[in-house]
Amino acid sequence: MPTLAENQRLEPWQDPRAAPYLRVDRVTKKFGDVYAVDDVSLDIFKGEFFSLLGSSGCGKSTLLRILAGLEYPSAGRIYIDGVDVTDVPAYSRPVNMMFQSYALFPHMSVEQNVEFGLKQDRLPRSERVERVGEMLDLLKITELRKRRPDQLSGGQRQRVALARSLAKHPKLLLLDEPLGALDKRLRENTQFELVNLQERLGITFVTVTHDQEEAMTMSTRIAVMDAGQIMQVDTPTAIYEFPTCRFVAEFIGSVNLFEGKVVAAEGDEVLVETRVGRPMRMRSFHPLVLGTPVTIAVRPEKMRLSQEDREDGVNQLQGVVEDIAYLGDVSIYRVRIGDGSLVEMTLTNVQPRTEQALTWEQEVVIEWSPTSGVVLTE
Amino acid sequence: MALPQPSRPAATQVLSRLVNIGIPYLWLGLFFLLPFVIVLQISLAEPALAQPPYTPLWQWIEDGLLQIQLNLQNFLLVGEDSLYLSAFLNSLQVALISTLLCLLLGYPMAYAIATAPERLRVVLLMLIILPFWTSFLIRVYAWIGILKSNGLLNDFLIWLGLIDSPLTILHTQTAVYIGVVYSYLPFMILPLYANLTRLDHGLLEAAADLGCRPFCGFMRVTLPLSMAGIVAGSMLVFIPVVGEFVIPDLLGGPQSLMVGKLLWTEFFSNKDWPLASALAIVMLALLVIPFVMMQRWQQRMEGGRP
Repeated sequence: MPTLAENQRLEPWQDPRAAPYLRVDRVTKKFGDVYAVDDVSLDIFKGEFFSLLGSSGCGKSTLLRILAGLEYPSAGRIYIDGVDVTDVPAYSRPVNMMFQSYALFPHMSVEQNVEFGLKQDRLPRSERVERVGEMLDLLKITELRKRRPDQLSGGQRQRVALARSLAKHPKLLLLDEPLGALDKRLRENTQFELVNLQERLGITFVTVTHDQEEAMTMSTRIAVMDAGQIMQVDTPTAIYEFPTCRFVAEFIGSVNLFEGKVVAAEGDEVLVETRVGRPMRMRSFHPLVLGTPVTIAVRPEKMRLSQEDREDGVNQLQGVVEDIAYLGDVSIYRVRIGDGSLVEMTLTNVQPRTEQALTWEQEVVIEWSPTSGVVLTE
Repeated sequence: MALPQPSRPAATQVLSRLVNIGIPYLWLGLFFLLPFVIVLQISLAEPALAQPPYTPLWQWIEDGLLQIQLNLQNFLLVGEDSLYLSAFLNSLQVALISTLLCLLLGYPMAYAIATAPERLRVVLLMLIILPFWTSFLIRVYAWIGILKSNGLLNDFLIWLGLIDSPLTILHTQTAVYIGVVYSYLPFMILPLYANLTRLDHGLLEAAADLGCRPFCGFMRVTLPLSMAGIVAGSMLVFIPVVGEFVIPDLLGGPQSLMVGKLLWTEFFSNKDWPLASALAIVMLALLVIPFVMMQRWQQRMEGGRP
């Protein structure tokens, strides 16, 4: 078990005394009448690998561009390491960005691309050469130094772009869809490499992605964005297991939602009468007043088959298997329940497929425990 | 697995390839090489009072004896007479300075058009192309009306009270520069515009992100990447201006003697076709040199590629 101090070092956002490294304070960005970023506040700590996750057009890229200084916010302030940088233009910010398209200079070699920012800093030649060598070494692209961007593969370009943005040792590295242009295999390998690199250099990373798997794998924390607003900021585990709103629950992974209202409360558990007919007992992290309309969210893999149909039917659903999707390691079952809606259940294929018990049109009873879902109040 | 067989027999393929390569070569041969050879041939003849007005290059004189007479006098004259030399130098000077002026004026214009909003861009481009709808000759004549001593420009300046007596602009070298820059500016702007619209704005953002102020971004990213457009535009201006005849003739004065005008005089007034042809050949040779140099340079720029 990590000690409290260790925990606070690993999860500085838990420590009330920790000062945020990057502070986004009520930032709004309007394009005409459209709010691209709507009153967003964020505290990001030193050494974090922070992800802004959302579908396209949710404002995540605009927010990143505001951090880079490529856009100026309509309202709100940005602080980096305690300094207000809101009005500092991109060229004087201690921040570098890796662009989604990489934006490598086509008329320069790999070496010259990496050196570009260092020349801007008027570093002496010997130091520049040393730093470029270091970066090329770090990203294992030394043998490509004389090539031009159009002679590189997608993966190699990504490395050059990364080397170029890291060369100036920025306080903050912004990455816009860093793995977006890579194929699936390369993406998975690069994910781990990126995390290792970040841990080794200790630079704070803020990335933008629409790929939840990518965000889950790499991030210390994730901010889920929708329509210019932040819906939830938390660790990948918390985002998945304990979403605080319907949007986040539905955006990340799959989820079964049951609407109802609270009819009884007992300790940290509430009894909810739902539209599907069966009562459900769930753990709630907040005390809830009787009659509050709520949505119960249960993930498909938290569902299991029940041997008996209990009399009270709490946390149980009866239905007929309608669809089976066999994915190899797991199978997804869609079960049509009493009120006609479909419930999704994922079961691990412990036995070979041919010996499985469940088949189409089979009547089943599904159940789950009070702690394997969340109660959403909105 | 068997590879799919080529659907066409080899002979047809070879034929179609020959036709594909042949047509442009045929075109070049017919409309460039052949006229060039004819001009070269005339330049080696002597003027004569005949139709055509030059002596034939070869002659059959009795019993299958072929007499070939090459007259190098024309080339010697072009080299010796300082008139021709100064005309050449003057032409090159006018072409060089006008190309620079066109570049200085045209680059900001092309840049502004390329970065303008989509709708405005179409209008601005139209404004550049619009003058072409009027005859080139009429547009040059119009400049006479503007530049002459009681013309629009002088009247306007006097009306403003900036000058008391009219400036002599028409029939000076200045008028030639005004006419040339005005006429050839679109040829500089259009290739530059085509080049600059292709510039990825993200590159400038990357430059800014890496610490470049806007001017530095222009110098280190925009300018080097638009070099191909600068070269293309400069060639399109420089080459025709060297041989320009109409503008120096109409707007220039006695001191603005250019090869094109000299050529015209030799050809039509003096009816000395061989000398005119020799002038044309020398001019071509002079123009090929910078062209080859440019090509070398471009090859070197792309030299890093396999």
